[in-house]
Amino acid sequence: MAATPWRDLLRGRLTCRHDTERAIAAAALPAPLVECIRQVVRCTRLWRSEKAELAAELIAHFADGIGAGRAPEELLQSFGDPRQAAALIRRAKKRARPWPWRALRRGLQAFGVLLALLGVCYGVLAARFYAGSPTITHNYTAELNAPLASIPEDQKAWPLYWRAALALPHFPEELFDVWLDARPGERGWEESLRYNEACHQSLDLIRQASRRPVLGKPLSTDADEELENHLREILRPSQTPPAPVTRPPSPSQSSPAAGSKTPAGAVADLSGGDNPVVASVVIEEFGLLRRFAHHLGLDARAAVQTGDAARAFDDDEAILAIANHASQGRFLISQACGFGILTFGLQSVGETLDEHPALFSDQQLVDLAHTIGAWGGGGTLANSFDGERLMFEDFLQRTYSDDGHGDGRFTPEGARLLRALAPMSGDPHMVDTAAAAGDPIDAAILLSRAELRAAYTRVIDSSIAEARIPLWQRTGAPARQRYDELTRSVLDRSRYLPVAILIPPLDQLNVTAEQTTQLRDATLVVIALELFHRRHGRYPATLDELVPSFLPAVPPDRFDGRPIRYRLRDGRPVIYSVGSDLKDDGGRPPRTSASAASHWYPPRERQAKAALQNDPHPIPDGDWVFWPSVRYDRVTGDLIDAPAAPPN
Amino acid sequence: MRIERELMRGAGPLAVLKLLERADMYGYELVESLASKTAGVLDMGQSTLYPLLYNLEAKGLIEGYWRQDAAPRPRKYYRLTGRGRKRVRDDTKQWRAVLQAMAGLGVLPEGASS
Repeated sequence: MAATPWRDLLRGRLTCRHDTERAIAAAALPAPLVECIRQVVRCTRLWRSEKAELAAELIAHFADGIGAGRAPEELLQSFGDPRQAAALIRRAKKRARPWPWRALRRGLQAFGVLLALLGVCYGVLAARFYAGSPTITHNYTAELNAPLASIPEDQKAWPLYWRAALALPHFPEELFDVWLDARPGERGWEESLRYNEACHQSLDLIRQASRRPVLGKPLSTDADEELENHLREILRPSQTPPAPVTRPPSPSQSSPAAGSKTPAGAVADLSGGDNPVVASVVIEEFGLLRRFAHHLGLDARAAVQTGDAARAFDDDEAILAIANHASQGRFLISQACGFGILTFGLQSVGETLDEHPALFSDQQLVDLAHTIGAWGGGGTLANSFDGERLMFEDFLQRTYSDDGHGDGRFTPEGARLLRALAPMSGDPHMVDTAAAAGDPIDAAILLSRAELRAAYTRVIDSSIAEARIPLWQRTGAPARQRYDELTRSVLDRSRYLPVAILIPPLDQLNVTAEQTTQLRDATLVVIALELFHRRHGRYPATLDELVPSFLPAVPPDRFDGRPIRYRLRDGRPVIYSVGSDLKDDGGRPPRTSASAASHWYPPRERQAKAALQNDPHPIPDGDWVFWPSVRYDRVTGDLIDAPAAPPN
Repeated sequence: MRIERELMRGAGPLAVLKLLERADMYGYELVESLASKTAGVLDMGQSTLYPLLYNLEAKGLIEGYWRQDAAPRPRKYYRLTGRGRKRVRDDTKQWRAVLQAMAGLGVLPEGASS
């Protein structure tokens, strides 16, 4: 059947017209000629039909020669070399084949050439990639810890905080959802007080620690197991423990000391050794410091209820000191935590002045004003990127080779470190992209060491430049735009992957600093108003009356640049900002807590939202009211304790 | 006299096409005609002739067909196509020009190319 053309088969005929052997045998030619035909036909390696036709033609050729009286040997001699003939015939016959076959053949040939070229390129890239290894020249963790060595132990707060944490008793589960915001007369207040009283030993230690000038906790990649186990023990499972910011993977081998060359194939050690990866240091103190601040806030609230001004004052001062300790860290997360605790402390002071304005003495108010006013040197609070830059430099020295001129290539060790750090980004796409970065092609796509440093610096510098512009003058979020440019396409994400993983979240960084600045300024105004009231028996008609005796200057409303809003309502002052909607609502806060009036929208986003018909998250209608305190129902989110409607 | 391969590569196709211009021929007949009409100068081995024929066929200058006349078995005859005829005319002109040029150089005696 194989020797029958498919057309014949379709017609139901078994013709065997392509049976070359049978045709040669039937030709009855001398054996040497038969062998010559057989050899030529076989060596052509043509299609069966082509071979059959060739065989028939050669049979006819030799038969004509015999018929003309030529001897077989003579015919063979004049025929020439059968192998050469076969090769030439094969080439010629293939030229005569149908164009689709020739096109396919050319395509396959081109594909083969392409594959070969790609193979060569891959080989070159692989050789380049696997030949590179990083040279670790700095111990940045040691450099960051060095200043602590010269500080006396009795100036460091961390040892006392550590003891305070270990002295915390078991946390009652029923207080989980009320403890942070418990108020006198409300659900959970009495239970919260009892729990706080049980924590008196810890509270004493926390207050002592807060009086020390330096936090003094060295950076380390080793988790404090004793502390971790204790916290796990006292907190209910769903809340335990205050999670370390980074978690080291299991150690594999000691990390190289400064100046050493990472051996090829070694697994990057993130967890310890003399020179650990800065990006993997365990920052476990922030959860604790926040918790301590809440203990003190609760105690201050209780002290206010009993008229214990000294205790309330000490607690508020201690909260502000803890905020200062938190922000002493070199990383952005330290500063963010510091801002968070500072906000909590400012709210605590504001609440006390709201509910019991006469509690604090003049001197206590002045002292609080000095403590609060010292934040940011009286200017706008700002973030420092020093620690982040060191962390990035540490990353570069561990992932890239060093050409001695600040540049280098991505290395296999770098790929392993990148994979280990990728979960820090919290973005599954980044994790997936990092997982593929160990391939020589992906490594070739990645930017060089110098290019990567330049890209990282561009984003960080744009954030610093953005922070210098007051909130009311900002026209956009350039730092965020810079970052988005690095992750716009799949190719960009691959090229800038380490920057995308290690860059801090820039979305709200500078806005949070502005908001905290605003709260600080508003609290200073509130204290100044209380002092003015005590001296003059009335509140000022405008805030300008406070300057310079009670306030160095009237602070701006960070949303529109005009002076912070002040008005008297029912004989009592209201301090507020126009807030998100940039509209002065006379000190009326939004009706629900669903959206905060403190949220800042870049102008373009504000315009886009204004154009929407049914925006599910509209810009909050109302002012950001600092004083008197505004509270929302914990369950319904509805406004409670609302200031009276402004007079028309 | 043996002709250099490069020269044969240029002359062989035109010689075959010229023979087919006069009449359709089969392989062995072409071999014999080439040998006899060129006094053996363009006598090419069949290992060269058949690939040459298949190349001309692939270019569409000639076409083959099977025919059984007086012979005991069918033979594959070749005939010139329209494109083949045009090629013969063009190549003939070019050869004449070459020969004239050669005559001008004294490679051929004057008048030998006409």
